[in-house]
Amino acid sequence: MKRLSTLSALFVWCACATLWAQEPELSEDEKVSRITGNLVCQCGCANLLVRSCGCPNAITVSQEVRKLVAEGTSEAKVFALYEEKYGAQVLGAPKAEGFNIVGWILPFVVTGFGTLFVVAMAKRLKPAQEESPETDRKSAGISEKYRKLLDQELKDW
Amino acid sequence: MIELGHYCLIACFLLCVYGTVAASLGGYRGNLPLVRSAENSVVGNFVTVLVASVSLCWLFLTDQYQVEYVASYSARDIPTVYKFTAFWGGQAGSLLLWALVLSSFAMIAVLQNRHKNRHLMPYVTVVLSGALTFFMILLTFATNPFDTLPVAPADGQGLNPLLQNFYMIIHPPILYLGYVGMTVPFAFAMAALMSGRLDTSWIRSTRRWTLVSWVFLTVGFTLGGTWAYEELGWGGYWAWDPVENASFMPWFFASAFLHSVMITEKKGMLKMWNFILILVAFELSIFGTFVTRSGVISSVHSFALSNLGPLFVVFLASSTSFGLFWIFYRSDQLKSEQRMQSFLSREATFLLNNLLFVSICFAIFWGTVFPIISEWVRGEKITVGPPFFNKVTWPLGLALLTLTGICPLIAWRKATAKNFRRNFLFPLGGGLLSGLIALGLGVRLLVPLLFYSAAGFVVLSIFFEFYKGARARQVIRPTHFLVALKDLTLMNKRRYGGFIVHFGVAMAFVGIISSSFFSVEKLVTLKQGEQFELRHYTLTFLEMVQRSDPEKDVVFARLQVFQNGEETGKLFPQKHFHHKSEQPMTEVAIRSTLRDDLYVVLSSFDEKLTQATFHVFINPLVQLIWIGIGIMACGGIFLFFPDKKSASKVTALRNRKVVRDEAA
Repeated sequence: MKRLSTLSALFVWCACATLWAQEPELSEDEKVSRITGNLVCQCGCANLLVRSCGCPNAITVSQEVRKLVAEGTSEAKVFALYEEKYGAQVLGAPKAEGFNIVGWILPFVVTGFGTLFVVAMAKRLKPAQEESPETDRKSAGISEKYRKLLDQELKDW
Repeated sequence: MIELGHYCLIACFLLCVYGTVAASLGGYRGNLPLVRSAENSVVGNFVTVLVASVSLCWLFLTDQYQVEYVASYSARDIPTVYKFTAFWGGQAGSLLLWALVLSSFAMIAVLQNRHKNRHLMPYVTVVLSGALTFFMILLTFATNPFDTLPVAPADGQGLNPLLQNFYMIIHPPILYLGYVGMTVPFAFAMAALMSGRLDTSWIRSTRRWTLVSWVFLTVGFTLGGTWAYEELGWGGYWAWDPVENASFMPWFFASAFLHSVMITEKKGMLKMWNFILILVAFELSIFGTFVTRSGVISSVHSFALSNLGPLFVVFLASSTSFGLFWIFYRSDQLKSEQRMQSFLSREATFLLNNLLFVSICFAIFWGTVFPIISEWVRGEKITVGPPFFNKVTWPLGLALLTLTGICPLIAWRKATAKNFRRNFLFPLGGGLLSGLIALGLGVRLLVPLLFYSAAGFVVLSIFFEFYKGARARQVIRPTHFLVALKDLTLMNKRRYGGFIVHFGVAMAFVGIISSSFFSVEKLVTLKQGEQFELRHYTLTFLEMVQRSDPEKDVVFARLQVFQNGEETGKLFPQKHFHHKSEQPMTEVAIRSTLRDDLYVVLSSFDEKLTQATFHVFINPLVQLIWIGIGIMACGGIFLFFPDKKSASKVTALRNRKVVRDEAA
């Protein structure tokens, strides 16, 4: 158990160290890619992101974004500019505000309640015991009728 | 042929109605001849739908443009193979394909059970015939593929060029085999509830059907992803489009069911849960086709707006109510025979695994329908696209991947410290090592690092299990390690086939995470002779070439590719201008290696063909996804076959046969 604890601790340490080490400085290309990967192309190609869509509109938006990034405009400001121009539907994911929060958290709430349910089931623990022959028969799928028949046959025999 | 097809549809509809009524009465009254007659009508359904389908194929192949459906999706100049696949290019034909697959599955199920599961079969026939009745109502009264035009046009409108692709020949039928396959387990589950025979016989009869459906769904949506990757030219394989999501959702429930039945068979637990899983899997398969046809949710894959939405809603509502009623009605008989003894047990981890499958499915469903809900509530249109799905699903996916490694290692009933030490130490060390290797290779993002560690843990746990099993077998029966490994695998296909699937899952996860987090892209405009670099690739734009054929004009670029300074070949990204389509089609050029895919799209070019804009992507480890999913499908097929019997079992069976023969 000691070795297991040591390994687990090392694993957690590595994860934390990596957490601190993340968010490297992004190049201009990477910034543009990240922004266009969160903007929806408004050419009518049904929810393709600007980064993915190869239409002329997407090319224009990509060039606009590159220009804004080169001018030093922040990511949030770029998103705000496009939201002002096209409305909230231009954002690839809804902003976590107002009713949209329900959209973001509900999957985790459902998972959380589900986990609580599993824990609650485990709390109603049956005391550890050897399985009785009765249980074995049940789990083998033998119905009461056949069990009686079997018992009778064994008795007669 | 038009009349033949039309009358066959009507005949099938009448047979379906008869089959449903006769099987209901036969089952209720215990009238065997009536049940047999209903079962025969299921065979009749298949024959009539098959004749209707062959008729439609014939109409396509012989260019019968007086038929509206043929005129809409075919043309004289398209290749013969696409005239054949135009069968399912539109709504009516795809529904006919659905009916054909459903009727053939129903017939197989009925013929397989001529001499077994007799107490279930009347009700199985009711449900299968009932489901087919719905599709025959659609085909006969709402969207008949044999409707004719007042005046036949000289030529058809042609098939969408995007659908003229190898993957579109096989993707829809395979996906339909997966979707429709879920109807058979649903029918057996409902039959068990209706007949009150709630032992594990219905599970034994349906596990393989669910497995078949699961394999087809897995292959089906992967082919769809491959098609999108190679044909749509947006650099990815999964766009979290509503229709893609819809195809994915039944898969989660089928996967959950395949896991939970193990607990039911071994421990007599989760009985009601299994019925719920099968019910929801079936409803989601119908929901998928509803999303595609209703126009409720905007999608690149949607058929034109149609009048079928309300009919699908009625069917979904009625079949769900029907299933829930029977589950509720039998709820007293669906109580678990045993209770969980510890949270640290295989039972609990299987339950958690089921919870995660359902949670991921819910997250996808919720993201798919949230734009509609949000618009109702706030009156503002929003988009729920890939950034949302990626953020919401990764924590759940990571937990699921980790459980994939834990579930087979942890002990039944209650895990002890000894069990942990013996089973987990080596795989956990492997997980840690893979994390460290990823760190050493320069990965500095937490999420990929966690996934790589989890994948390493899963892979090592699988190898460890194979190794332990083979060594144990060598002790029992001294033989070569590889022979022991082969025997072990063949004699317990459910366990080791499951491990093969899990190995594929881990590989696919590594591919998905790598291509999602570490792909790079660049939009670049080049003049002839110019070059540019992206990571370790250098591309030189040599020239633009134009050519024409009777169907289309083609413009393509010749690009010389260098990898780390060494010439590795040429790529030819293209634009196709089909004469019958206003939209130009992109033909992507991909150079695939195990390490990465160099993916080049010709975005635009000038009139003189001297300058072009390219969208270039480098997607790492994409091949791992296809290989991983291929392994998953192979594992699923492997699971389908019965176990090889051990030598001692074969001898015992032979002896028993000899005794029986002598007694006779």
